[in-house]
Amino acid sequence: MKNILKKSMTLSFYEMKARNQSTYLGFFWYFLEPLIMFTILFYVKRNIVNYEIENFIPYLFIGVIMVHFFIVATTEIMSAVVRNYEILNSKKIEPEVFIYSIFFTALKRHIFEALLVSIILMFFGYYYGFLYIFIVPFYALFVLGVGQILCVLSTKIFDATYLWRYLCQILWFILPIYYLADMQNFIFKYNPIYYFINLGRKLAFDLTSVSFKLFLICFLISIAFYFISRFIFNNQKYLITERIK
Amino acid sequence: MIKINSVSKKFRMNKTSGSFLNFLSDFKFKKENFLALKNINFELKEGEILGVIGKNGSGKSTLLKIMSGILKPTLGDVHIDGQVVYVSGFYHGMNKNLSMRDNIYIIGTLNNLSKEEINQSIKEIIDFSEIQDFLDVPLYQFSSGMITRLALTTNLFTLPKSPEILILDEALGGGLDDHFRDKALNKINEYIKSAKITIIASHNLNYLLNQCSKILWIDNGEAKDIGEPKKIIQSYSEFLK
Repeated sequence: MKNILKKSMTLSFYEMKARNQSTYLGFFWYFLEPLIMFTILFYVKRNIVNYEIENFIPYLFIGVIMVHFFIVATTEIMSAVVRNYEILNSKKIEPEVFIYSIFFTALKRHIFEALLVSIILMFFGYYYGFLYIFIVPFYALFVLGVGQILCVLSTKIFDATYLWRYLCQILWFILPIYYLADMQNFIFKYNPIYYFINLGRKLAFDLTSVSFKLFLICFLISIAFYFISRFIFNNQKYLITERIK
Repeated sequence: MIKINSVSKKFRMNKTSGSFLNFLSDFKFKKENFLALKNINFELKEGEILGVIGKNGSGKSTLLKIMSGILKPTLGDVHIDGQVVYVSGFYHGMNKNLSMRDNIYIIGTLNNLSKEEINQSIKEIIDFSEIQDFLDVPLYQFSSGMITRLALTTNLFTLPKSPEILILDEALGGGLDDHFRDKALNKINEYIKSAKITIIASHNLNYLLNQCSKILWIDNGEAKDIGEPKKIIQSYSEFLK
């Protein structure tokens, strides 16, 4: 595992280098997409939706960067094996290397986004926005788990990749990113991402309402998703290369 | 020692690969299978060099990939004593937006080398490739021949120095000039000398005749013949006519 992680980190470094090379803004391009989404949703909420949401700026920022990370990471991890099938078919290399390298790239981008958001929140008087970073390890493990399951699925059914892209678009509307959630509604109650967003927000601007129960739920969801996905992936590992041949 | 015992390999034929309708139909209709290897048996002892010949699509690469652990056999056993090094003539994983230097690190990493090990080999790679003037130039400005040179050199110099079992699957690829081809062949021959057992799949029959102690001829996934190089290469040449 140590060897896989080392290789993944190296490949992730060169992937980022290739993306940033020849651009003037480099890393800042990553922040542009969530920033545009933030601006659109901020405008929609202020001008179209009537009710008030307390601490709306950090509420929206945390929601946007968390959903953005989920969509980017899962979509890219999903195609990790298919995109690298030629290497997998010509070298003895663990397919996990490509999954983790894409995951690390997405994670680095997300941490960068989170740091920028923390600085912006400080400017608006939310000095503890950086505490959001404490939820990132659990949330990242959950995202990796979902990505690994999707990766196996995409080698079995190619249509899954297209289907996932559509589902990701729906996510922007079925998660309480720019509106308030009613916990009794089943859309939120059975959506694991909601619990992470909820905890992320509480850490960033409502620290006194953070409960141990919510921490435990997030921890258990991330562990469960990661280990179930490892089990599925390990069972399908050798079939993956042959399926996409 | 290598012992290949009744090895067969079956692939699922994906004619319209992986569509949702196909997935649903899997429950109703039988899948179409393709038998890439059928009951292959042979043994190799220390010091032997096996050449593998056959037409394109005959199953040579599938056999070599099974021996190197990239693929698993559907039936049969593969017993290999020692570390296997697989070198293929098809080079993937290079990033055209990055420089030659960066790509050396990428290929080295894909070949299981640490950064320190790549640092030790990088000077040799640069000198051997003879394209040192382009070290920090992105690959999209390279000609295809230069990319082949870089890929082959990096692959050769990031191999373990004394491989126990060396598998060369069309290792030279194409697009090289004669000067560099001879130079690369000499380097490959050094590796062959230091390896305990070597297996070479190639369409260069003269090269195999000079190098190998045994030839395996595969046709349509079946071992048509195995034995003395001169006799088998002669039969194969006549078969091709």
